[in-house]
Amino acid sequence: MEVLDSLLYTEDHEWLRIDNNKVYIGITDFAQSELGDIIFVELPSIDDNVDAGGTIGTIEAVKTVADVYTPISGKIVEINENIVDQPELINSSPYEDGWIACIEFNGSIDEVKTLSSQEYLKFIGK
Amino acid sequence: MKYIPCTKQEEKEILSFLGYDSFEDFISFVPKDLLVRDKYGISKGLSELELLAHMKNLSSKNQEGISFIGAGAYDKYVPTIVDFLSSRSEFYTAYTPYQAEVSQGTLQYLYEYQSMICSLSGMDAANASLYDGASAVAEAAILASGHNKLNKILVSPFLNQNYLSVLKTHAKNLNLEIIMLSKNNHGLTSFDDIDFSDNDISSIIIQSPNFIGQIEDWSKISGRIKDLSTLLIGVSDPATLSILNPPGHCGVDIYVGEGQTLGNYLSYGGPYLGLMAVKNSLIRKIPGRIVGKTEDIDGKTGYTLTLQTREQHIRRERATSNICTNQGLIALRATLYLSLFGSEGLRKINELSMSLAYYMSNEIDKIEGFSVIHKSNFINEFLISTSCDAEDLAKKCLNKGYNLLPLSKNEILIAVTEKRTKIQIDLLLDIFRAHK
Repeated sequence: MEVLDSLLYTEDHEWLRIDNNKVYIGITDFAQSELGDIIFVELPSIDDNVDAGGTIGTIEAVKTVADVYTPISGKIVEINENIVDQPELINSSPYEDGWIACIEFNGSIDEVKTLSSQEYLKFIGK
Repeated sequence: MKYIPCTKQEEKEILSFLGYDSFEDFISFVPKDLLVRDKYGISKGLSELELLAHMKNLSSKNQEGISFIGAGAYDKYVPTIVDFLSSRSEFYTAYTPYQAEVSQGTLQYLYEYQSMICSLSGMDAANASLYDGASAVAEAAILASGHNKLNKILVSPFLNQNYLSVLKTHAKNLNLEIIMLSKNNHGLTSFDDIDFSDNDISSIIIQSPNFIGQIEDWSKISGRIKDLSTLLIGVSDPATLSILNPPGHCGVDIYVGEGQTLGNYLSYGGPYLGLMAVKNSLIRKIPGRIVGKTEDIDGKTGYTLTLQTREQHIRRERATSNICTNQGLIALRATLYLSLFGSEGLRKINELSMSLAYYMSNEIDKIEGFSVIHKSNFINEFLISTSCDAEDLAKKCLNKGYNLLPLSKNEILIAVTEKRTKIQIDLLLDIFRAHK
């Protein structure tokens, strides 16, 4: 199970890559392997305002469907259009090509409950 | 024979585990006056002979008249072969096709049903049917609101009133706001007073032919909302779509309708058939079952339920609808009916009922004290005004074997299906002429 040290993680099995006041969000390698083949992704719209804990999209696999949550409030500034046509990118490259959305956040990321790569590995029992 | 889920001993063990002395003790929270004391007041059984006599006595009270009533349910011709084929036990006893490998027949006819509904309506994707036209309208409004996260629903004043009341029942607990549009002088929905500036309208529901039979133009309103997130819900009797410009070609986003007219009897109000078809962009939001066509491991064609991630057994509380079944047998009848007549046959049926309806409306207009309110722009249903009391007239006609529907003290809504004949119409007109 791949976990990158350079990223932060959430208990919702998402990874966060902080870039100043923006955060890129995707789902972890563990999450994609649990879901199985991903066949459809519903993305938020650019300029949508989102609240911490709210859903910003949906990931549909063959036999299940999962929501994508944001751990922080802010505004959607980028979405990964590539995964609309190629949802399998989330399976093949969850940390790079399969990113989901980017949020410009207003508060501080320190107030968000995140896990380090080691903590996340422990959380999923690996 | 009794069905005994557990023995007295097991019941005692369960109750003692839960901390109760007896079953009566367990249900002691139920107010005493709500408990059934007697044996449900059901009389002792009848013999088969007695029961048949009893039922025959009851059914003899039904008065089957010659129906000129429409208003959402129509006395249509049903070919005998529809009854024959749909009552085959393979179809009649089949249950929800969870197990695709033993349900290919059911799945195939539902797939064909969906294809025919798409072809009739001009929409991209249909589901395997809903309960009836009324619940389909409500589901369409819920779909729209789930899609665009808006909650205002504008409703044509000429939407079937039964559909409206079901819509209201759903809307009440879903925070949906129903706003009625106004009427214009031509018996059509007026779009003049819609304020689009707030951009908070979830959907607009327009029925065509509308409740009084007039043909509405969906494209009039779809052009004005095409840049907004507002969705247009088109409601229509599918039997009329072979001669109308279909909703899919008029900018309708969600088509819904009542499928009773496709090979089903009036049956005192049900079971009927809810139709729903959408544009491709809404396919993951459509409620109910969808049957898909696929290939098995050997490359042979097969059918299966598909896109089930929309449904509540997978999406749980986030499912957009709690519909997880369909009206299988009635959808089968619609499939048989449509495949028997084809688009050419459907058009001929409409032409027949239309020529009868226009003959009748022209004749009514000539009778003193009667007038047809909107003399054109209808297919087979129209509203007449009477100078006499419409209820009195309807009663008089009922005594002579004709069913009519007064809408108010001086208005009668008349539907003429292909089953009516010129002789029947002429006899009814004679009653009108003689009525003072």
